Amino acid sequence: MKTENEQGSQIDSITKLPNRTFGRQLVEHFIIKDNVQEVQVIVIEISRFGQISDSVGNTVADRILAKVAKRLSAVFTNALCIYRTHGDHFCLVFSGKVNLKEEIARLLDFAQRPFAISGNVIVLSIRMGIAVADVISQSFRDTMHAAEAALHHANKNGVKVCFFEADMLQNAKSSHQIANDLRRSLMTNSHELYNAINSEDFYLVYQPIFSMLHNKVTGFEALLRWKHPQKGIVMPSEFIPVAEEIGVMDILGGWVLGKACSDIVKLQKESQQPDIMININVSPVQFLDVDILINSLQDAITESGIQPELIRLEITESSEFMSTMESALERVKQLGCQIAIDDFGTGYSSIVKLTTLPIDLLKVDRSFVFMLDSPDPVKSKQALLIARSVYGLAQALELDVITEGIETAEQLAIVEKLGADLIQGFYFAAPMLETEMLNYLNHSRS
Amino acid sequence: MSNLYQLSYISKNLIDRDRLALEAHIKSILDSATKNNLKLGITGALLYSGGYFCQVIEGEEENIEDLFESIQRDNRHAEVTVLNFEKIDERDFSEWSMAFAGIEDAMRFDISGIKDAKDTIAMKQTGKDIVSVLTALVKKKQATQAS
Repeated sequence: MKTENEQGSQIDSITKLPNRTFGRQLVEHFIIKDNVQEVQVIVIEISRFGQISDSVGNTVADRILAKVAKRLSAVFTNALCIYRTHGDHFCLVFSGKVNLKEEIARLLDFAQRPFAISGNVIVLSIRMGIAVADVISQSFRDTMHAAEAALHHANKNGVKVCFFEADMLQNAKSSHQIANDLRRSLMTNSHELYNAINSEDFYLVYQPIFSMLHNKVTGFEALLRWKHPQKGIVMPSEFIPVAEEIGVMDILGGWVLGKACSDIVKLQKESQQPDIMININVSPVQFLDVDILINSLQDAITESGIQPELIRLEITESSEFMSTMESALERVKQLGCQIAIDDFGTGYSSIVKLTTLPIDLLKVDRSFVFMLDSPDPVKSKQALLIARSVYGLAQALELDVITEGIETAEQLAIVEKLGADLIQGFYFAAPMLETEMLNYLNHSRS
Repeated sequence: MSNLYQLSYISKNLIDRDRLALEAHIKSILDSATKNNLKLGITGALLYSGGYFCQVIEGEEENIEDLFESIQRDNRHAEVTVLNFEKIDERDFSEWSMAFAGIEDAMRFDISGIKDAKDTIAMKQTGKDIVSVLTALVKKKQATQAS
């Protein structure tokens, strides 16, 4: 028998439910005691609990968790065990005898019923990951991991309920690994990231932007790379979503702004071309806290001494943030910087939005450019139509256009005929290190 | 120091198909309210209007929260919508464990409009309207019974 003290450390102090380890031990105990053949595991997460916690404070947030626990225990008296795995995650375990469909429906129903706490009425929504396994072929620990992988999948795909499938474990593992490494990388470098623009793990490469009209390089786009200790160079498409998810985009984004501005100012001086522009990508997530973004931008401008109008922030179209972006973009404009819509044509912007947002430039997405010289005449015709309408639209709205992803002479000839001026792509130059920019610029002029 | 809260809510009646069943259901609510609310220092009023329970409960914060939670777990209620939940200085139904204001066939509040709009100001106002309607109805009933 456990002493009371030992027992105490196995019970979560906020919810009075068993904690993760004790919960698992209890289930394993019940499996033997009640001769359970099959377990059905539901791991639930309260959606956006962090935001709720921010708005009501930690004390009330803890009371919400306690009430959730109490409601789960009162409603699901048929569960083998209910416990809190961590944070806003709970685990419900049923034996195979229970009708899982009904329990899922009840869980969704009861979770969305309001809680009354200290004058607040709080309505929660949950996501759940589910795994079912017989106890002989799979340990309970593995079944629980499977349910957690399914929950991860539910979160990633924005669905409320997700059943485990075999390939999810591998994906969850690799995404988890990236998140951990990224955290570690940022932790060891956080001092440097904040105070000096000198990180070993992250670095920027720069891809030239060429003006056909002026026959010269007029700017560069800064692109972030991560030097992973084992994996080698990791591309942003792989780690930026993770950085957004674990909430470190403001640190990383701030570092990029500072580093890119100081690099380009150095180049402007050394090349004696003071009007070289710098394009910097900003994640939609950075617009969630506009003050941080504006401060980082302001710091980057002050510290580097760059002329603000030579900074062009590239934002991707995002339905989620478009509504809040307008005022944020106005503040960016007040600092004097330019704004470009990246990957134009693949996202959500409406033409109406284009006229109301303070935008200076559109970047034609590389996927259309890639199709311009496609051997498939239908595809190439489609791409041509889209490219032509983007140029037309930009002209009507008096916006500049950068055509990116130019890789062949054919593509270049086609967009040139369409009147394209600013061009970016491997056909001209691949992204290069900061140390290579001056040389490239000098050569391109000669 | 008193920590009084008042909570008004509406919920859809899911089970009662006829008037008799409804009356029995209401009686059971009132009976259990009389029994439990007195102990917990909860007061309030209930009106049945067009398929919805409109209820106001008032008392100490913790007791109100617990009572509300038990209503949430009651399978006979669905679509519970809190209209107003706030700290109060004094009770509106201090003499009643649960005053019953009556059964009305037609819903007198614009419930679906409020629920769809999710307009917190309109909800709060309806919560206050319910309190004043219930107060008036309870008083009227009291006067009729006294005469």
